[in-house]
Amino acid sequence: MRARCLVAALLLVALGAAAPAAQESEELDAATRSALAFAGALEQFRAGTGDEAALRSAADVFGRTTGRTDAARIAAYYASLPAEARAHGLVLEQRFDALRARASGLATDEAPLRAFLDASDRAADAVPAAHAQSLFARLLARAVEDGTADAERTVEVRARALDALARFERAGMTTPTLEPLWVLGRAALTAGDAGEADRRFDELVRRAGRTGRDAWRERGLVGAIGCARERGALFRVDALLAELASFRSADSCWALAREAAVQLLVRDDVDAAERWLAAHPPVAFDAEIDRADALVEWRALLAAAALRGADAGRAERIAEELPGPIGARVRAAAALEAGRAEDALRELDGANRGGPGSRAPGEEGIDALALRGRALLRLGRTDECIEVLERARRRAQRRDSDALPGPVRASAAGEWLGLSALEALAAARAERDGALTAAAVVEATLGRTDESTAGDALLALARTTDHGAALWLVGADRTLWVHVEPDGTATHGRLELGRRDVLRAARRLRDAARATRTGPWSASDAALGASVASELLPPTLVRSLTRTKGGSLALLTRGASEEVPFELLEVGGAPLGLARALWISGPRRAPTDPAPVDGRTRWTALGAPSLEGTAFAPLPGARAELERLGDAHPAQPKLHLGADATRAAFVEALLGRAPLHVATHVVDRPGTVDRPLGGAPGRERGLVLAGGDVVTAAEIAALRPRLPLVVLAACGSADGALLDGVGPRGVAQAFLEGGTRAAIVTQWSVADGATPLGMLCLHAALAGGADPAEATRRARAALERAGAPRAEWAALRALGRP
Amino acid sequence: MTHEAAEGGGARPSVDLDDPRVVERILRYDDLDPAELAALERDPRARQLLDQLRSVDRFLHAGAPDAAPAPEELYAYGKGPGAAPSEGAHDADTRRWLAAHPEEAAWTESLEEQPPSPVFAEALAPGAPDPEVHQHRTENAASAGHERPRAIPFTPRPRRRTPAWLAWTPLAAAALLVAMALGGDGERGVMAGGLPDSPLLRSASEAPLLFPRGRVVAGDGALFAAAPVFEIAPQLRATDYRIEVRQLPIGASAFEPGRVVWTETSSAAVLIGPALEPGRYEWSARATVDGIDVDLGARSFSVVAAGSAATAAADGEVSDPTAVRADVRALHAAGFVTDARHRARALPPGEERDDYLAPPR
Repeated sequence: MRARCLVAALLLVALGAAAPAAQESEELDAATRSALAFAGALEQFRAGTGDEAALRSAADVFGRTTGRTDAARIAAYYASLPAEARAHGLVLEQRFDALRARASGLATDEAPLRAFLDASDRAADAVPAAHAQSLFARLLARAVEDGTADAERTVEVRARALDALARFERAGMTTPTLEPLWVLGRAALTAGDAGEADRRFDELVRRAGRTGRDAWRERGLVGAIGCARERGALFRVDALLAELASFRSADSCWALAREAAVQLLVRDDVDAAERWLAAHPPVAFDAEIDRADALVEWRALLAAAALRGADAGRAERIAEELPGPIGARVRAAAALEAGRAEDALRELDGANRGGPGSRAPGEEGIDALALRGRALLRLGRTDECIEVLERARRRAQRRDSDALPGPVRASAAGEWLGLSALEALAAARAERDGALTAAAVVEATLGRTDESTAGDALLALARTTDHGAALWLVGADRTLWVHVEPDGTATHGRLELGRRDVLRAARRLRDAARATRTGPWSASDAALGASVASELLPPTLVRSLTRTKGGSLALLTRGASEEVPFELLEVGGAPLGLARALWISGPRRAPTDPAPVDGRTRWTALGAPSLEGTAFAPLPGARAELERLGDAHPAQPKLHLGADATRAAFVEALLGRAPLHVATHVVDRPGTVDRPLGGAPGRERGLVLAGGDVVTAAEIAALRPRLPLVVLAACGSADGALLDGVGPRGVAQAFLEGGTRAAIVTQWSVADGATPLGMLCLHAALAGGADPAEATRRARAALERAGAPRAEWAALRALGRP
Repeated sequence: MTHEAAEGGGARPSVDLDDPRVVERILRYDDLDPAELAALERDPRARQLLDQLRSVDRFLHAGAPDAAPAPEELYAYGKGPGAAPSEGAHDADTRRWLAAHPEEAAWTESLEEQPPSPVFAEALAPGAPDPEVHQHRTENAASAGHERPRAIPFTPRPRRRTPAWLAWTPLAAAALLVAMALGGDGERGVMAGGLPDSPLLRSASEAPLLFPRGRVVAGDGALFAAAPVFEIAPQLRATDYRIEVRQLPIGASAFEPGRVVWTETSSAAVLIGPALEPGRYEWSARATVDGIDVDLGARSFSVVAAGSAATAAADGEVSDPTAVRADVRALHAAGFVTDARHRARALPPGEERDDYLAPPR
């Protein structure tokens, strides 16, 4: 009888229905009742006391009740076995249950499992051996992770888990496959195969969700979050966290609380991170995932939050009792923040003097190297600083190239090296090798090229402009600027302005500009712009702008400076956006850019889609704008208006070589964005086409449009979540990263009625031979002269290079 | 009111609005001699267009940019970080204007605070503070004594008394502007005696932080600033919202974080804050969604001393719907959209009120 109960319990597990405390309770829901009925029927069938028809009937009821098909597959599997094999399987499972009970403390020797496998491996019923292989793989995986088993045994872990998976699947079972899937994900991580790990965890999440096994779903999600973080897919982390939070509470799930805190810190949301951690100490955790590290992790995160909040003393106090290399790194960072660079170096050296988790100095992680480099820079040991930070940079670049292929998800500098470390490296190189070299280091790192190519490209860019090229690299606490004048002379400086400071000022300016749609641009707004100009613009650039009216310049905004509306900054009595042709230039990626657009080229114009019956308002301004584009050009554009503004027409335009003008809505819609292009976490950004069809930024990037120029006359076509080292993830970036040479875009919302004037002036200038930056300046000026508020004209921006 | 009814049903178009030369004349209406202007006004479509152009002109003038000193003059007058030396002739104008605009005066007073990190290499020649500026500051109880700022040169910008309508804009663009104006805009509701529309944007997205935004009328009583309502777009599955309001140090660096003046947590997406004195503010909000802390962003707004007409309109003592509509229109046109929204709540329930109070798109 006991054996029967055990078998019934195992079957319930196999079907994903938890064994209820009172099996006869009338309160049981229909799913559990049908699962119990199926388990009972199967037990009787395997024991030879029940018939196949009753089993299939119970499977049918279960399938209809739950929508699941595994019970029918399980019934078919056991019906295919000889009666003796079914009975022998029952006996084996009874023995396995005892083994599983012994392994509940997760400490068992391998001999009994090996003996059981010898006995069950050739049995006709594959399920008992599958359970044994799965448990064996799980215990071995843990031993490898703990360091109590050789790392080489990861191969064995994988082989056993794969064998278990195959056997369960042969038996038509789903729920028992969750354990080997989890083990396979962990084994892949141990072997450094993040792609394989991600696929296994993803499958685990999917199957656990389908079978209602929340504990396994949690484990799969925690694994997937780790994989996403590893390859810099921050938006995917957000989406996975939201899924975990939909069925787990951070109060009772440390993994969730921890990952949410990390995400807040990654976004520099320091106050929120501190509040969050204080409210969510690790009181409940999965022993197999978190073990005793939970408390250390919690304290380390608290210390990190204090550090980012510029409270080095508090960080040091929290880190005092932190063990191992983690504690040493936190104490080093706190000492550095407190201005004690020597102490920081001592802590880092101490962390490498043996003990668990310590590494030789040459094997330090990227974060420890970055800390060491910053400490050396503080001490004026420039050469050593450069040597250490270059090593960190090379390591980050290797990790970057190991990341999953596909559209840009993260950058070596933004996610793994950190812009602060890159800023420190560039500052050290500027001191030793000059400002131009410093800028080349930044561009080479962010553009994934070599310093020589990046330096040449920067010089060439500066020479094609009247006022040169200015670069800002905004780190967590400091900003490095470099100004390369047209004659190649380069100067540099460092500002005590960090990411949060720059984002704050940028947001205030953008708010002030957008508010002009309903109110004036006040003197206090202008003073805001003057303040940003006075603190951010290099003095050599200001001198050049003051000396010479008009002209062009290139702004290489790296990090948070991407958000600054430079068009609004006033120098020499006029906003930059009205007086100067501004190129906002990203890191140069494609050496084979399409040729620049010329005045004779025939354009493709698409937009003003027919939107009847959709949630989107028709755009009469966009229609008029597109219909009249031909007035500006010698060749009539190829028009796709209204019902013809279809996905097929859009794709054809993207695959062609003609410059493209798009006038429509930009929208965010719910979606899980693995590739962070457009929108915010959990949102996908795209362009609206006929019938309300939305083509997303990710879809555009996948087509790799190599156009000479695209004009995106829609709201916030360059706006998107900011990813350090990569830039804002808007629709425009999908074109530029696909290979399009230049884009004329908007930084925020624009009015349908005001935009056409600017766009027609833009095209008149382009047809007259102006380059995109100058044409954009004329468009802004035309709107301003016509009395349009700054909300309309300052939104226009030219991205790319001359 | 239909267009024909406005003209008594008898007016017939006599002006060819497809002729670019006519369009350009209309756009330059303020340069026309009275006879030509009168001739144009006899045409209903031309008159409608002229009305709209005048309405835009009025809005631009009412918005103060032409009446106010140029921003760089104010900045120089206040000795802001990096400002060039101010000129005596401009200072006299600036001082008169500041006397009538206390908010801007407060700005210039505090501009003299030393910036945290000057970056410009060239310093101004040392010299004593301008006595007139000093006297004015003393009168306004501003602080004394400051280091000389470093220079960012400003050239006074010529002030524009009337918009230079399309001085060189291509005629195709001008014609388009006319087409757009005739095709309807956000002022239609106003002309019909209703509430103003928001402009049609090429987007269907909106940040979660709704109001306050832009400029808010300072004062007490029934004014919005006396009991500001912070509105957040409700977030799916959010259990609570946390708001933080910071007052920004007026005239100091744009990079300053500001001082926290109020924080509140509520399960509702609408929170009522404490009275706000004149100044520049920034509010940020967070939500707890499925137990996770989510940043909803930040938005700036200013509480400003407005003229008596705007203050009276925002004060909301009259509840007659016609008067309320007039107040809403006046506040909206003057850029006090938050106050206009606040005032519109006094309208009787209905489609018009719901449309106006709907979250902006």
